[in-house]
Amino acid sequence: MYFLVQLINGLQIGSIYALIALGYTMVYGIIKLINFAHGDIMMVGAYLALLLLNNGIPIIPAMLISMAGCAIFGIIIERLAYKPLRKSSRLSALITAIGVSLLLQNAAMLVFGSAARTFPDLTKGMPSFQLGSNSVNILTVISIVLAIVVMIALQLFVTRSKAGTAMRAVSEDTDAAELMGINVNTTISMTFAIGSGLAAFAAILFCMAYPQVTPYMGAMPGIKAFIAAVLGGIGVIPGAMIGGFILGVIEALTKAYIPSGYSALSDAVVFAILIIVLLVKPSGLLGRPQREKV
Amino acid sequence: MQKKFFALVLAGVMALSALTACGGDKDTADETTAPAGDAAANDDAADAATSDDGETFRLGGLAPLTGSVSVYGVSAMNGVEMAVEEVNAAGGINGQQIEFNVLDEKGDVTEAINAYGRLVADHDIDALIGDVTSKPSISVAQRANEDGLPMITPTGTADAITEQGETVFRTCFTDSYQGRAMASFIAGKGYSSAAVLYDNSDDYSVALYNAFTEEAKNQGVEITAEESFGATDSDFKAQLTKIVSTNPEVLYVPAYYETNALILRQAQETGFKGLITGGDGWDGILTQFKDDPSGADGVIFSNHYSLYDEDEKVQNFVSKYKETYGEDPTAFAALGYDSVYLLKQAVEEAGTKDKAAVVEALKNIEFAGVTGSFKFDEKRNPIKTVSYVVVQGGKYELDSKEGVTE
Repeated sequence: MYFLVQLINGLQIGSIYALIALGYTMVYGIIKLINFAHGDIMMVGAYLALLLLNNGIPIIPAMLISMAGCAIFGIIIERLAYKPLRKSSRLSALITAIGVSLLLQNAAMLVFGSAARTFPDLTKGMPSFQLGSNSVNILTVISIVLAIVVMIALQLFVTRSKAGTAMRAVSEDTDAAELMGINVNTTISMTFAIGSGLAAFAAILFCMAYPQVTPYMGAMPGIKAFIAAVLGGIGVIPGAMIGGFILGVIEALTKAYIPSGYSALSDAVVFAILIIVLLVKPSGLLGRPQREKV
Repeated sequence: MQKKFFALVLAGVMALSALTACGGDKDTADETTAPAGDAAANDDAADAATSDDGETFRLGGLAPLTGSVSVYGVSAMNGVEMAVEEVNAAGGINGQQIEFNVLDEKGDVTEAINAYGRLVADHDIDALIGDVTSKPSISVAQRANEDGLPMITPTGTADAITEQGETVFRTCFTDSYQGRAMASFIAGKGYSSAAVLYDNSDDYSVALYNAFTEEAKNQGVEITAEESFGATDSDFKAQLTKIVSTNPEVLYVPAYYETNALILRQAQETGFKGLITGGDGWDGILTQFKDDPSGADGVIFSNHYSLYDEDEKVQNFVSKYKETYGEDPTAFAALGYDSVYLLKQAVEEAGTKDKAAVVEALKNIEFAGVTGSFKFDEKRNPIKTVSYVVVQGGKYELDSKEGVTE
């Protein structure tokens, strides 16, 4: 029972990592940019949802509006900050991404202040069930299921739809895709929109579990999600999902089974496991080894 | 052409980001004379500018006025400022008006050292009230001691602060004192088992945890689990699930209130039914439960004073503070307020603002303030009472107030 509860805990935080990791991996797959501002887009989504909820808009519309808002916001960021640098070195783009991240954090601090805002507690009134001596709120299970549904929908979109095929084509070879009549700019914008929308979705799941919104809330989940993306093989969409869940579960189980006095070491154990995985499979769990093009 | 346009926009974005950076900086760089921004303090500043001949008592303040711990800094400095105004209105210290300059250090050690340097170099301060949180206070205390400057931290609870030297004092009790106090409190209430969830990256949290577990074991309270987390964590479910499965009667969480709010909610969610306790970092927890005031009901934490203390001094302070700032004073405000009167009494007993004489006077002082009456021990820590505050229906009630046992 204890194991099951801890597994649910891990899956919950893992589903959030996975949703954010998708944004990282899709953007990396298509323009080879590690978008370090991605975690902060999640933060923007959280503030957006908070504002809507505080103005009396129910959770489902608030979620959809916040996702749409972040999608548009993602496109704007791509157009203003990354597109002009698409032809320059990857390092410049990376530095720009870090700049955008700092800009978003500081702007949020300016607009909303640095103190933590409380997200409405949605678990109130939701039933919870007892597993041994521990209880689990039904909302936890709902959010894991929702995350999985969204991920399956994304996978279907990317593999079955025309737009998804275009996305994969651009990611494989931008120039050839352009020659085939694919509008590369639109495709890249779409990728940013989907990634940012997913980040807003993750933000709401995050706030449901940990009801607090701060300007820096995106930083740590952002980094963890980036690690999840690398673990799963960056650029590979199912890899990000699996990476996110694995990271979440390893985290929870390490904290669960490490002896009490040594719990300070739990992060070290988590990262040691990741290092070992990457030593054995440097391109990530589902990543294909990079071949040097001659 | 299009390229040029985007380059311009990008430049605009960068300029904007530079501006925001400056915007943030400005608060720190400029001396905010009286962050509450009232006319009286501004007049003082104007007076000071014209009379630079040592007829004023130049008091420095250091506090995080922005950043994640700004709530503590702002309330401590509100208390300081209210006291400064009162003292000035009543004729000053030894006939000298207080010229008060407070600098923002954002809760950061480097910023605190720099701000301290500016206070000494630009304002030639006679005494320092600050810093507010422990880590920057330790570094600043070291400098103040080297400079022979009397320093009173109103709220820095780390044992190491006053260990930095002879000129460093504090108005609050120490971390280890507070941890021990809570352990004997729960033992006194008849609880026999407890678990701890603490922040292993924070000196304050670790010190309370160590003192609490040590004293709890001495008093025969079984510690069922000792779990920790990191500064940026917001997921505590794994640790809490583990704690709940060991069935403790009490959970001790020595952390700050923003984190505590998350822990409290997750503890309820994971099915913890016992008593949740903590240290003075819980003061302010109700700011996180504005839409659900009963959400923190039943939490008991050790604190420096309670709003509901019927002592006349406390009630006068509380009503005046409410009038001035429109909110209930936290313990930080009360400690800031006491620090000014503590310093005033020392300077008056010394009869001069000479730094060495003020330090000597502080060592032998017997002070009675809002947060209690105290003398300093040989380590310049006050020997005073601890208030146990219980959160009830969106209010902080006084459970009991206990004297020193050693």
